[in-house]
Amino acid sequence: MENNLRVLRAERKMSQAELAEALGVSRQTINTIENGKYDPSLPLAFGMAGLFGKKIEEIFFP
Amino acid sequence: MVNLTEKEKKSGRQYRNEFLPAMVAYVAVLFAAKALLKYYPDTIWDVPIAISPSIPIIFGLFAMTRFIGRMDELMKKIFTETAAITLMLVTMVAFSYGFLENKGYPHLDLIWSFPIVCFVFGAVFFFVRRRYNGE
Repeated sequence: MENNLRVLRAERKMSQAELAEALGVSRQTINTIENGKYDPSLPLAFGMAGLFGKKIEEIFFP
Repeated sequence: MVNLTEKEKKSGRQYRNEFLPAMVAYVAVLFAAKALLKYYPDTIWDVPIAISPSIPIIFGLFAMTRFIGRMDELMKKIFTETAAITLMLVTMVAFSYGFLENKGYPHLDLIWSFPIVCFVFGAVFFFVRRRYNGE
């Protein structure tokens, strides 16, 4: 899955580590999601959507 | 460089605090069991004493299980893939070596199964983790 997580994170001037901390995952997890190497679980995707105030389909797309 | 979150650091500390005492206890029980079996080799307790070093190992395995439970979802996925590949590799090689033993190759003691699994797991983990290295 593609995503615009990197853009959303940059807009809020958050580092990968800060986003990881906020979501309770590792920085590597954020990194692999941003690079399209790993698709997050639904709970994590909902967590991201809640954090950025977006719908899941506004962050992730096929 | 690995940047660990506070949650990961805490989890690592908790793992060390649980795993290290189990390993220290293992070494102590191992030497005690060996000494007891040497001086009192033929008692009704020789079987329980012989397997007693496994008990601290069980506590070590509990520590590992709790550590895996605290991991985030990506690391759990990496561990699961590593475990599946390790299982296939070790059982396939052990199965094949069984045929070689029938052809006269030296018998491999079962005590080696745990260190071999740990070694193969470590090697496989290195490669699986690299696949998810998103840099």
